[in-house]
Amino acid sequence: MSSNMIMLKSSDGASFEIEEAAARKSKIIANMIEVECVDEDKAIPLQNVTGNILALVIEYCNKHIVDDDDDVATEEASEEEEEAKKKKVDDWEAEFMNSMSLETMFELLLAANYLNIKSLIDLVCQTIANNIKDKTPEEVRKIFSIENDFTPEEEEEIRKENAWAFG
Amino acid sequence: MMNRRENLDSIPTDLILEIFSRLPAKSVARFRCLSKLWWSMLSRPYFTNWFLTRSSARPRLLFVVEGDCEWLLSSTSQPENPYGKSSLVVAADFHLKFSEDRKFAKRSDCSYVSGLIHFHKMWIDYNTGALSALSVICNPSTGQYATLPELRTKKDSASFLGFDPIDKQFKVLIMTDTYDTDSVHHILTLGTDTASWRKIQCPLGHVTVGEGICINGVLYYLAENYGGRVIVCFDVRSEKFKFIDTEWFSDDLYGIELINYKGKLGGINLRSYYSYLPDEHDHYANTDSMELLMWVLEDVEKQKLSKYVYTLWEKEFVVRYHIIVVGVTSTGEIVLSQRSITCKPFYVFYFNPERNTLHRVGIHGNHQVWKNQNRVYAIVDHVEDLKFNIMETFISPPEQKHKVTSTSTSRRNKHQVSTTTSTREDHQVKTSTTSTREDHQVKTSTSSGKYHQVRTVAHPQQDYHEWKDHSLKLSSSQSDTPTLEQTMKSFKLGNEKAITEGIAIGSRSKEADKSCKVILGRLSRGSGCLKGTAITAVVLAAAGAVAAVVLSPNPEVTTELMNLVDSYVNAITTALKN
Repeated sequence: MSSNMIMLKSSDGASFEIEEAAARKSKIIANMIEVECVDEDKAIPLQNVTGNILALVIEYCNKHIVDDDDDVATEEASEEEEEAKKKKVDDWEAEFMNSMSLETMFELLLAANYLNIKSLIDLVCQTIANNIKDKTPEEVRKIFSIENDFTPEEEEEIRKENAWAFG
Repeated sequence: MMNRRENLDSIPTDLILEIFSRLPAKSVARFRCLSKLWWSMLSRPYFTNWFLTRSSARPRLLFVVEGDCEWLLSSTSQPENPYGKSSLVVAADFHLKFSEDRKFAKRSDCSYVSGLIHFHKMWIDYNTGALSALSVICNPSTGQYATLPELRTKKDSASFLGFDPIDKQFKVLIMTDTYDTDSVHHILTLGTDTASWRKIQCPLGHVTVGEGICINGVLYYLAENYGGRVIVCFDVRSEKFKFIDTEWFSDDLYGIELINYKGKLGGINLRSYYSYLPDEHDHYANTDSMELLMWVLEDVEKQKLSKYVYTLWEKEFVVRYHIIVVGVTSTGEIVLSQRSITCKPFYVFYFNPERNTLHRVGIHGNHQVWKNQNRVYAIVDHVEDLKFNIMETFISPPEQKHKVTSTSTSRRNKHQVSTTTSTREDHQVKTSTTSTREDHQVKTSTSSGKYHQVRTVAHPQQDYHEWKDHSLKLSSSQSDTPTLEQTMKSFKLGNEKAITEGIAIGSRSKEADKSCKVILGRLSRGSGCLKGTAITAVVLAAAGAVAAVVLSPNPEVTTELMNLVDSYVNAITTALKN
């Protein structure tokens, strides 16, 4: 297992050092490493990600690289151990997301999308979905800055169509 | 730091749809009224198919509770990992009820497959003193339902709903009980323009017993004929009947529920008995226990049957009586529940035969229909599907039905999407939902069942007749991806000129004409820019008709949307021609 360190630089100039194995969670960075366009002395500039968000991304990657290693190393782990481990990761993810504002979640989602980290995209999308599922259309419009262009009659009609969903 | 406005505007549409595809069906229905753009996006097959894929990955447990004159449909997530979670919330409640002047007067059987429920002979009282028995198809995820054409037969008994995953078609089968050879039964294909009952023949007469189960396009049910008890296999696609020779295991066909055990046909018999076992002080005492006998048909040709026996102690169940087998989840957990509501909470049990664990989930329903003595039909692996593509079989709403009593009305609406649209309101289900979500809290607890013995029995070779390499393997039947966009009905259109792929054009022709020109103008400008990266072309038609095209920088999405643009242009052209 390589323990090469890679430097990442956020849009606001902050530098982060990350293990190559963790950085590979990002398909984009993994590709860059594959084609050897990563200079050990130079930081990879990430122009779409601010420092505070990049810190979160790195925290996530660091956490999950350990888990991935374990999967390979302990193939014969018993079911209970697997379950306990999965539960531990789930708990960590829940805690990780729990402290975040919706605003931060959206920024994290954009960063995960930009860096192409599929599991993080899944996690953030599901968390946002859980967050908004019980909200009213008015609240969701506000969150997504959606302008309601229905006439009151039209909206009433659609609400009537889906009346059961408003209970 | 970006402000929220900029931030959210920069989120690609496919990411937002990614979020929305993870919502429960109920939330999606609610968010249809966000804006015209979102109404359109959440209605398109692009999204509904995406939603179905997501929803298939998180199957739910569906409860159909039968009240006096009403049905309550609710669902809850199936615990993925029965050890981790301590509480679950029943997410969606849908109350199926016709308007006040009509009632579901009597109980009827219900069968489920791939997201749809069929109620056979739902007796409906129009307050005229006369009851009509209707066949009702319902999508519990969207609350839509449709009545099927009336079928008048002398001796119809059981009814089954089948799904053919190849052609993605649902078919309703109504059986005529008879011991005669060449018996005649009836079948109706949902979503076709024929929308009428067809006769089909079965070479062997039989009387159906119990409920059926549809596994990978084959409907299995138990029946009796002169030879005793048999398993009937009905291939939903080819509409051919076959019989499994069950002589070599016919003893196992009594008192069972048919199940889908990881794609194979199986049967479970649950029986309670008293046993005399020593307690910890070596005193013998009466101990109530339940024996769960399960067989799985491994190979019909080779007559290979796996048999398992598990003993479950009744005290683990808290409630002692009326425990029934609900089914087996795709992950192989055997689900048991109470037959009817006898106490609060209502209990569901997940028994994992491989790990020998029993997990108990209490369901708290606060709706008035969740009350004592009401029968509960629980259904495993329910997949939420936003589509309801049986619109063309919509025959007539109940009001019209009783005015025109003749069955000849049955084909009245065929081919006419417009009729479907205009009678939409009549089909709208009146709902009343519970006021407080908190009351649906589900509490869970775990306890452990006792594992006794497992054995596999391979039977000696025997010849089969009428049976050739019938595949019992399946992927658990997924829902459909049908053809007609149901959400079109969401807009009341004065004249329906074009309904394609989530686009509804025009309401009054002048306005439609005008708006179509606008659309075409925008589209032609938009097409010029398509080679660029991210543009958004929003196409709005008059009077609530909406078509939206959002082009994202993601090439996959762009391709998908290009196709949509094409279909929109076609639709608009059609509209203009008219």
